[in-house]
Amino acid sequence: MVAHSRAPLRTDRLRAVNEPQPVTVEVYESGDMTVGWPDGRTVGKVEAILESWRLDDEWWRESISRSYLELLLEGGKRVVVFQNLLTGQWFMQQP
Amino acid sequence: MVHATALIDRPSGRQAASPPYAELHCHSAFSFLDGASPPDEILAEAHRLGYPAIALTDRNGIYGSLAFAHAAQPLGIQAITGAAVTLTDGSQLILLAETPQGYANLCRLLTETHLGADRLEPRLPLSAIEARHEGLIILSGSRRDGLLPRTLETEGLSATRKLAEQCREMFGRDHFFVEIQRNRVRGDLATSRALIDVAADLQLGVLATGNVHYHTRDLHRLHDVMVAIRHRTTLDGSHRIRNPNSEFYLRPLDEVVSLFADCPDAVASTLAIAGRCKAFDLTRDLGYTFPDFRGADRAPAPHALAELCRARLDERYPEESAYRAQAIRRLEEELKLIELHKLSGFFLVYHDLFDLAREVAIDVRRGSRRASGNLLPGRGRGSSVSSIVCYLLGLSHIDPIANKLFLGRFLNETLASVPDIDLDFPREIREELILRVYTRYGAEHVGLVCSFPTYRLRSAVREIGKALDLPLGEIELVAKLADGRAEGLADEMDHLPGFADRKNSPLWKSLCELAHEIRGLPRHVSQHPGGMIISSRPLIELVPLERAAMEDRIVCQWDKDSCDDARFIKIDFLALGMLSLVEECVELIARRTGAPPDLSRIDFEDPAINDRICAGDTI
Repeated sequence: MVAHSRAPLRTDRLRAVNEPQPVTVEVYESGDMTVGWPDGRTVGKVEAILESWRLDDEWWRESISRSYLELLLEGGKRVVVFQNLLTGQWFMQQP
Repeated sequence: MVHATALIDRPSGRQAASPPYAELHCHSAFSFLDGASPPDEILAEAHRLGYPAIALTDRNGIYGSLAFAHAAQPLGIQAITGAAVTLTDGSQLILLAETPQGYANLCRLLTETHLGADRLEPRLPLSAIEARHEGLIILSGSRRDGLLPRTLETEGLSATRKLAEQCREMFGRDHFFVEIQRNRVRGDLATSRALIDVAADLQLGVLATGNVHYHTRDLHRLHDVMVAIRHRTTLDGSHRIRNPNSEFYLRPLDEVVSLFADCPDAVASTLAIAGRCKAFDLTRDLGYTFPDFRGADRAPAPHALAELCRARLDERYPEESAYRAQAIRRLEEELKLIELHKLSGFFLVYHDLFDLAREVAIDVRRGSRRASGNLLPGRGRGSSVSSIVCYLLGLSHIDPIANKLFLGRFLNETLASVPDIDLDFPREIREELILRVYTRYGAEHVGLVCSFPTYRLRSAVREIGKALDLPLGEIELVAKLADGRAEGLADEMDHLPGFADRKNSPLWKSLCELAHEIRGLPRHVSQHPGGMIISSRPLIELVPLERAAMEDRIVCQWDKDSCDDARFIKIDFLALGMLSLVEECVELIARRTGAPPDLSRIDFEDPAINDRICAGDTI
């Protein structure tokens, strides 16, 4: 249900959109690549890497340095994963 | 199992067995706040990585190109001369000099870019390049500002194809290339694939380039700050105009090959283009010649100079002079040295210029009482006063024989560069003389030497501090600390009340680090105090010209060091405030006494004056 458009804005109702979710990304010697949840469940096997890009910003405040991959998963789902290059952790977002 | 990091962090620093790639798009600090590396550091890194050739393509200029070309030679790297030219619509093309004719066209086009537009917004119509593209190789430009990528982004594929076709018609298939870049910016892949398709449709060649803005990755922070400074905003406010990542560095060659693995021809073609550009070497093919002196058609320069000097020698050292014999010996010695170094024409042109200065002085002083004061238009100074040739030509008023002056510092057998003759003039005469030189030799043949003010620690702290959005009052306190201290800005902050605990906070730490990194890099183009270049061949085919901040002044894009490297002859017309004061004093004396004093009759040996000088009783 859509909220009333004239309802007063409340900061406690703000929420992050497309918040990155921690994931694991593994590449096997065969070349296969999978994305999984931290609890071991599989998000999907990677069919293709569609694009990769990098972001380096905010170094004067709290540095952001990320390497992104846009992936096509088996079954046709597209996801974006990125590695925080400062911590090595992987996250997933919707494209 | 291999961790996915392997997909992202490619191998680096390794040299390929045979170089597979030449960098054809590289900005240095001479792109002024759009490049974070000086040319020599780019070359050192290129050498380390095994690059065979690299093109310096600074924005609307070749300010650092000659120094770059000279520094590349001992490293065995081919330096290609080029520039990124801003078009009327704000987009950009890369022009590379393939031949000497191409270089001349590049200089003319860059001059038109600057003189045909607002001084701070150089722009060039595409039609101008169409008219002068012979000997040039033209690349379609960078992902963000390039003519084709920008059209692709704003008007779509069909408009891009049409424009590319138009460029092919204008410049020819062999001279226009579609440039693709992979700086790991989101959308690069799609853009480059669309451009490859356009090129394939039109049978145009494709070139991979790096769009390099700094030689090592860690300098991306400095480049970000520079972009913010250039746009007079903060880092936060420059999000859209800054590069989104740190991938605009000089890559290891195997990394380039890997990035363009789907289009290996685009990489290989860079070597073919570099090969074509070998037909022009800036250190070899400049073709500068000094202008002829007046009367060059009547007698060769050595003969004319000897004749002129001998005639004057009889006036200055008559038969009864005690110095005559010495003067004759000295003149013959100097004439031999001058002929040895083929400098006769150089001295005669100086003589012409001093004659011109006399005409200017007469015009400037006309109507004033000092007009009859027998004042020289200006004075020679420095080592040139030891030359009897300078004395006889009127370039110096000091007798080198009577004063026992040593010649060797000015002229000797092992002279490596052209001797320096500094001429001082009263301010108003100098101003008019500079304009008169333009008229005498033609605007296309004359230019003032430029200079490049560089960042010092204090200016660096102020500008970087603003980019970091630090409080202005606090920036000023730290800037004052920075004055004259070459190292240790962070240590200095320890002594500033309230700042000791801040130096490790991210913003202040960045300020300290970046202020040291930017120190010494050129900030903008300025004007040398008085150096002028005069050329027989149009100067605008040798080095681009642009407007100085001062009205009616045109500077060339090389500083005195590059002008020396180019073997240009630099004539220094310097303004000396004291000479202006002397002129004023003569005027005042003439007003009071009714007649100006004759300064040429002042006795340099007056003991009373020498006593006062010895006593330190001078102004």
